[in-house]
Amino acid sequence: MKMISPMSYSNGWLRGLNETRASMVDLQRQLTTGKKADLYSGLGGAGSIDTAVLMRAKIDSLEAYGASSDLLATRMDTMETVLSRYSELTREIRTMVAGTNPQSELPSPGTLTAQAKTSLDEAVALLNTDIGGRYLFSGRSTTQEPVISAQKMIEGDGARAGFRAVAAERLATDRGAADANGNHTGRLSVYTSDIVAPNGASVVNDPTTTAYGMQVSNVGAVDKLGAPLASVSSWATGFAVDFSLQDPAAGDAISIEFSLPDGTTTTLKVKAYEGTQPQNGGEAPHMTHYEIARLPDGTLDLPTTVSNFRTALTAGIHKVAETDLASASALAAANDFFDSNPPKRVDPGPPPVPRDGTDADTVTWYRGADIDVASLPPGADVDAERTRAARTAAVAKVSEDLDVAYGSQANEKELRATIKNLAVIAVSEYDMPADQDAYINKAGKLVNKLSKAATGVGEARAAIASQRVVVQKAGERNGLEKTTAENLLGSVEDADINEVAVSLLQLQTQLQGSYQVTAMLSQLSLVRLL
Amino acid sequence: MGLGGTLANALSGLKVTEAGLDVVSRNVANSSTAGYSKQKLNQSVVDYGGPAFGVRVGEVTRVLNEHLVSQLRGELTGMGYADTMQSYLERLEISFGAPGAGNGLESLYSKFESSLEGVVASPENPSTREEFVQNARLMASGLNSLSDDVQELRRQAESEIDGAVNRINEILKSIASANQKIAVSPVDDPQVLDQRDQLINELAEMMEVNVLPAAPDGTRSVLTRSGTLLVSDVPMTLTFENRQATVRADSLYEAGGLGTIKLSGPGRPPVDLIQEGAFASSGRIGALLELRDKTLVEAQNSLDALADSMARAMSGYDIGSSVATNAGNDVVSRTLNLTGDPLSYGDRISFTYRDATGEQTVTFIATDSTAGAIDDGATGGKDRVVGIDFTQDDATIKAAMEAAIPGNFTVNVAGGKSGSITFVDGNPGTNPAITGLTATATETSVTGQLALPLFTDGGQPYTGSFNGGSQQRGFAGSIRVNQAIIDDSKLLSQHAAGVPLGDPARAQAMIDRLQAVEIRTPNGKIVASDPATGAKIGTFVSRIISTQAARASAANHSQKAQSEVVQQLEERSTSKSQVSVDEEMARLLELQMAYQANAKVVKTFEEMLYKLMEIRP
Repeated sequence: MKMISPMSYSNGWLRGLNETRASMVDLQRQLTTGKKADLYSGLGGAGSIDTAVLMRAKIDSLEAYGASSDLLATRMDTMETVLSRYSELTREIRTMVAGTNPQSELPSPGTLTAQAKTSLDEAVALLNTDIGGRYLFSGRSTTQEPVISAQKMIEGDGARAGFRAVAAERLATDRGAADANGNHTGRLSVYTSDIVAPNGASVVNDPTTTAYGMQVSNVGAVDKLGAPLASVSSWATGFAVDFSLQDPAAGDAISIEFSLPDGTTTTLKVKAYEGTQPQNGGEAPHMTHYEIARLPDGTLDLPTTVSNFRTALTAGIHKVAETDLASASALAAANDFFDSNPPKRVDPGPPPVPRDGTDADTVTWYRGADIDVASLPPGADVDAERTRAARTAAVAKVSEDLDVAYGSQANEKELRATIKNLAVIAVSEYDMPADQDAYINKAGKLVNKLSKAATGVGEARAAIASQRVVVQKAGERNGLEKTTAENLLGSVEDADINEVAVSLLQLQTQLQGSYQVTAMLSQLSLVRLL
Repeated sequence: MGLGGTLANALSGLKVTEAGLDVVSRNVANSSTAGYSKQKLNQSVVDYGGPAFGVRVGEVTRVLNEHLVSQLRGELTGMGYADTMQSYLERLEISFGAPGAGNGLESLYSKFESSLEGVVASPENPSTREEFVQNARLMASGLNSLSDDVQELRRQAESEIDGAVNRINEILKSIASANQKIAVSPVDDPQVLDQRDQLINELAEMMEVNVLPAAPDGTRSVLTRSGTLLVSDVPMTLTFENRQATVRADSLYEAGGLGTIKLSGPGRPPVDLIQEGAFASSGRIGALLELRDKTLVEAQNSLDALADSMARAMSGYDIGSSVATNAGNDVVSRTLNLTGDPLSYGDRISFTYRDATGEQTVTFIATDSTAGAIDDGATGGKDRVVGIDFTQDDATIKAAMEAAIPGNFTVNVAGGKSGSITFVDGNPGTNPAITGLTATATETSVTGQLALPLFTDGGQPYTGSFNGGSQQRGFAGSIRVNQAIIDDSKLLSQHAAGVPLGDPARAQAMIDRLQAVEIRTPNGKIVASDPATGAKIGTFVSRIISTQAARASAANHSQKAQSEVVQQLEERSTSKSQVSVDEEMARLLELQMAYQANAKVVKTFEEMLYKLMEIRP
């Protein structure tokens, strides 16, 4: 028979009541907090604890990646917008250059110059874009505005020269001294006197420098049947023509190739004719013709022919100097000013040599962080190194194993091309119609350069856009991972409200029953009956 | 038989009834006294040597089940252990932080790491930098307070052991005096027996005891689990020697830095009960000792390892070696050039070579003459670890390094730890052959390397030195953020003159190392939370927390299970020995009836005698 002890002395009874009460308190806590336990140890075995701790850590780090991704997205979206406008601006000015007709009133080269200045302002403003004090195109110097104002860039800053002065200095050096007629020969020595070049002429490169002016790089001389001319002799640094060695004949052509300061070449063709003067142009970028003069007896009038030849050659060289050389000089000056940090200037010499501009005499257009060009190994691709450094100037982790490098510098090759070409247009001044040829020549080169620049900006934009996609995808993946982690965490940490409610109800019934029985038992004692 | 016999019988009945009433009243009065065992009056028939039989008052005995009592005693020992473990580990776990609590260790660390990511993304932004510096300070102070909590728990354990030892001495004295009383009295007093049982139970809760069966005179001897006598009729005395009022991370029992329990008594030499294993994993004192000398020391070790790896992740950098080869492309020598990157004490040179069994690593740690021998476990790897006293001259350093590597290698040292060290293979191309040589140095200046001494120890850059003991031990309690960086957070990106504020390189290097740094143990292994090799610090932090939580959880379960067992045994034992008032009332009625009946016999005897007297002539 089971003995039931009086309730007040039964440990089991009291313990049962206490435990039921304690369970109820715990269930009430679960109901209000929604959590199974308030310490990890209350979650159960080591498996649940591990899951809870690891998932919490994972959620924390995913949240951090999320914050990084959001920040990056804002920055990269802004960069994309900026580059999109930048590329549009480059294409606009290219179209404008291509569509400008020097002969018509509007748009005239003068309008173009004004437009280039405005566009340069805008380009600079775009590159100087900042988000909350962080400049996007400054490399590592995120607190430094990367590009100086268009005004200072072109006109200089006080005693410090701007691009206009640098280009003018370079042009003066490239043209060389003017001859008696005020014409320039691009530092070539053109000899037309009978003493130095009897019965012809000779052209010799400036022996003191090849860095400036133009140089004769190749000479070809053939008659109309393609046989070499004995009257023309050439060597590495020049050529000479002596008609006493072979009589000139109609159709004889001398092609002189000049190398120009921007690394391009151009050709001047001097061709002999008799009778009607042919039209200039056609066979080579530059054509001049000279007439073979005849004495009344039909024999060669050598002195007149030589004089005709000398006039044609000199005029041809002058024209090359005023057009191709001038354009090439402007572009070379742009290279000097925009590609180098510090900008290159000309030490007039003689002989003229390139020198580094100083902070005192030249403005530096790009003020952001840059690689140390001097520390690169010889022969390194400076622009490739620069782009690499620029990208890693801004990095962020967007997921566990994914770093995104999205930094950029205004002086990266792709971005500075637009600025360079705009600056070249902005400092070009033309006196129409005299400078018509010079303008056409330069416009041709610029259209080409601007097309390339637009493509380059497009590439830079695509590079950012592809990284932006990476950020987006990483963000989506992080979101999914976070949901999974939260679900997993919930499954071990969260209390099931339904279960809790049912258990609570059950305990309530149990406790009520227990109390009732307790009350009844308390009445049952022999003591009361004695 | 005659009427006289009847009277004697009735009188004996009355006497027994009175005695029974006494026992009933005693039982009723003590019905709710803890530890009181129900008493029972034994009675027997008295043979007067004729047809008359009386009743005799026998001994009053206790109603109890000796077997249950001894089983309960054993379980009480287990409960003392489980209760104490549970209470300490719960407090430790609360210190480590509740799930999702902002001040928890995991949360502090993840904020530290994510705000460093923030600095990588926006180094130029002062508020980003400030946020990181603040999080680093919170992390450091979190480690400080956790370390303090762990040491405070150890101090409490130390002082609780002291209290327990004092209480044990009182108990032993009382048991001895109870034994003496029992030995001299011819009839055992149930009160004294109850009292002695109670005392032994209380003792059992504190330490495992072995109670011998009662001697013929009724005394019982109590021994420790290892068989040393604690008390018989004379008590032994326990003393808690070398008790420490303050406990620090470097106070270790093994090194004599904490108290120990000695037993002494009349006629025996003192014995160290801890050494003897009297408390191993049992009883309250066993739990306190385990907490003080193992569990909490391990917790401190993992915190120290965390602090150490964080500090080194920020300030450590690698120095590569240059290699010389012969015509056959075999390595002839490798040279470390330490000029400009002098080693700090605690910095390491790692030399690897290949022999017949595979790749071997010898790690040399820069020390001075105050460093003791360094355990191979100091690097957490399988390599051999050798401390090299770099205050010696080059020739002595050379000899010390050569002693640790195979004989066909020679070492050339020029200029000690800030010069060059070359390992030369005397026999290039054959095993053993040199495969690698690197050094890990600590940046101690805030500018120069990308590495940054973000954390300091006592105002000095932390280098993990072994001079005068492991600097890592207790570092969690003293780690601080470098004041120079608190003063100027620009140092987070400006690692050298002229470096732009927006340069993320330094923060990037910091985060890269944070995710790759080797986790080291303080000259020994971290047993429970020893991470897998190559674990990231973040994973290590999680591991520390889940280890603590799992221990607390196991302690909770075992405490619950143990207390269940104890309560059931108590219930079972009391249901046998406990006074039932109803039963006593029934007994009271019974006694009342018996008394009335005996009285009636006397009365009848009186009437009969009277009748007899009336028949007078």
